[in-house]
Amino acid sequence: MTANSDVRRELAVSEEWTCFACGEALVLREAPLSYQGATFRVEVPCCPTCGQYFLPESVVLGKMAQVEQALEDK
Amino acid sequence: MGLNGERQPPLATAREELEARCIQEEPPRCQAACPARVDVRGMCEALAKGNPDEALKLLRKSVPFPEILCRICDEPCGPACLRGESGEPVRIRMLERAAVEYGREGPSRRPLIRKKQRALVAGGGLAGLTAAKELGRKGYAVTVLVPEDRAGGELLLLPESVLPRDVVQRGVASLPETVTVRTGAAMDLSPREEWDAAFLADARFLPDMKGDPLSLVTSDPVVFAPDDRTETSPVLLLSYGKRAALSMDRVFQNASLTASREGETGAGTRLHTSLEGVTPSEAVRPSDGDRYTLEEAAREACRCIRCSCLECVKRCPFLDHYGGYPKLHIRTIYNNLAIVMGNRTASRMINSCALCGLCARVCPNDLDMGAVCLEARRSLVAMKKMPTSAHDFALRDMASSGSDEFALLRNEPGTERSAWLFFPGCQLGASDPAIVEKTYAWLRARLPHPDGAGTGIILRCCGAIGSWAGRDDLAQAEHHALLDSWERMGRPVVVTACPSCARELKDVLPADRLRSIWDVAREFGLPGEGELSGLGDVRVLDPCAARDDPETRSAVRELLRRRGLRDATEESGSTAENDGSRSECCGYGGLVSFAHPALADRFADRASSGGGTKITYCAMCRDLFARSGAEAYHILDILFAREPGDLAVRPCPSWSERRDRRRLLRAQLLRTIWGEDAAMRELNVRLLFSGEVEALTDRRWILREDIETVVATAERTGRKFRHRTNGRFLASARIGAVTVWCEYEPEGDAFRVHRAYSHRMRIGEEEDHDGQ
Repeated sequence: MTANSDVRRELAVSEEWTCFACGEALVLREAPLSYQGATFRVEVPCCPTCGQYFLPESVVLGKMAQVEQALEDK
Repeated sequence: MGLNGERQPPLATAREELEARCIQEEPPRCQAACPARVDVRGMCEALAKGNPDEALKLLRKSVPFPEILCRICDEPCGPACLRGESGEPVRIRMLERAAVEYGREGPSRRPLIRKKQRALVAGGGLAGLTAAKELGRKGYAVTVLVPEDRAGGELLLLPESVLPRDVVQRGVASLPETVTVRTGAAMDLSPREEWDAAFLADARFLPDMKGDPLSLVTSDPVVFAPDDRTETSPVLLLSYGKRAALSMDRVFQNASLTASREGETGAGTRLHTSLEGVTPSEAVRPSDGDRYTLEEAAREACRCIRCSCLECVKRCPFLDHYGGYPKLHIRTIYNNLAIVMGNRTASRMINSCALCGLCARVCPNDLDMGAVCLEARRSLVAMKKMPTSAHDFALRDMASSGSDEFALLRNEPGTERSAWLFFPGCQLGASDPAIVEKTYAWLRARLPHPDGAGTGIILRCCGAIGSWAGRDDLAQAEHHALLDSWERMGRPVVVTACPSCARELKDVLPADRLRSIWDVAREFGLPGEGELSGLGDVRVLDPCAARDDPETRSAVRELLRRRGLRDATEESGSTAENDGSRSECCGYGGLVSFAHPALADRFADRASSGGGTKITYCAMCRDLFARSGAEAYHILDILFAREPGDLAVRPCPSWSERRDRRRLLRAQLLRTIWGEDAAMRELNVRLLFSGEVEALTDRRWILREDIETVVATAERTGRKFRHRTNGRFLASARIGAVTVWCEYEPEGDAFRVHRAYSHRMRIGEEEDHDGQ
């Protein structure tokens, strides 16, 4: 997902958010994504301390939905 | 037909047989009757659009000498033309003449590649010239033997007014350069060493030799002749020439003489074309003798019906959406299942059929695409290739119906056994819990209590959701749970209030132990009395599941008549369009709503279109019709009404409301009838939604209770994000097979939800929350 500049732009929205528990700004970190038996790693914003991942609506309903659909058709 | 009806052979083993049932690719009657197989329908289409160039191109594909044939054709297409059953047949020959006169041809021709084989054509009439032209175009060296001093044969005997000599001459002149016309020839074939195959077009050459009716091969394997050497029909002579040329080409190429040639002879076709909506009309009379102007030709071509079946496509939003016709879809679906590597791009299509079987009902050959799609779903499930997103929400809903929170099974208070068991189904209570309570009270009061056995109630799913999803394992688990309860209650008569439940349970329960509530009401009396006037024009919209259940359909109509209501269209008689035998699905059937929501909306819009008050007897039909904007009532609304003022169209509930209403129904019944308190779900947090956000959340299949879980968990653990400027929070939780995200902010002692969205993909190690 990170190869796509549109996705990068959409992920930039994460700069407006902080981790509530740790008070940290979010950083991009590789995370495992898995669906329908396939696993791959992509860069996702997350809290550098507690590691909780952040996914904005535009990415979930856009690129992520497309990948889900593609994996379902495999 | 449909889910439990007449079985058709399975796709896995009978693909070709199923494909053959779809006759859309069969030729129209005109083309089948034409020995030259002219694409008359395509030609009419082109002329009607004012495109004679295209019409001529199509004509020339089948007819090497269109300028000759359009003047002398004996028109076997005329009597075959279906238009003749609604007015006069289309004047096809005159349209061909218009194509010839007004059509222009481009200069581009395929380059001629000369081949070494030599063909001999005995006779220079229409059959001989046709064979010579066809073979010459393919590059063979052709010699035409003409006993007279010029080519044309029988064509030269026709009056000038019918076929001018110069037209024949231009035809002869159009022969390719590979063709040599030898005039003044003797009535014998040239010596064998001078040719590789011969066609006896003229009966004066070896008159005793006759050919096979299809390939025209004679006792000599390289000599061809018509099976009837005395034939005089111009179009048949032309077809002899074409067939001889094809056979000789095959001889030259060492190919089979007979393979794939079934379509060349015979005048039959299986194509079915409905004349519904076709107004009778007379042929356009030409203003100039026997020739049409281009404008007259266009008008006459417009009279062509464009014979085509598409009976199923005309009636089904699913088939209409995917285009084409079933034969094509069967191949696509078959291939989708056979894929080992690569994408199964037809899975969504397979899951977008309502499985209602209307296609089979209107198909001339009973082809049921619902059965094909259901089989395909079962295969996808078996191969573990069913897309999770297609039915996950529906299957979770089904599981919830059977859970302790929603399910209920009781004998009537004060009884140990049940003679009757009310089975309202999962959606009636979800739509309107009060109507289930009223109905159960009425059944307890009205139904007889033989030997102290009462009227029990069961709240759970019938299994239809599992069946539709191709999950027979889940459907059977529901059936077993029901059967088990039913045995323990003393094998009562199960009274269903939903046609889909009735259809699902038909194969589960003995026939004498399953009745519809409408049938029971007919026998034991209605809950409300008197005529209900003031509803205006009423339309009865039968659910698709009742299409094969005429008894239920007539019971419903009788109940309505007893309340003074009658389908407005029945005044002019009962027809296939208003008796429910061709009723259309609302889009819930087959779980279309879940796999393809936009298409499901089209089902509902279509099934509930037209004016008037709509009455149906399926809770989902009622709800979806109401969502489509129809004034739609469930028949129980009508039967319990004392006066029209009692009636108000309820809005379609959201999925969250459906859950809440089912819970409420169970709690109400337990409290009011059995004096028990049901443990209600504890609300951890109170949520506030704007109407817009709530509707969007519902369309995304996210339940209010799922959002409660997200917010409650985030508030308890502090695992959430905070917006730097507006103070909102964003949190997520894994619930079943989805991760639900919610953006919210505190408002008083509640939380206002600003957006919710979900994905199925798992990220990192998410902790599961049970959404139930």
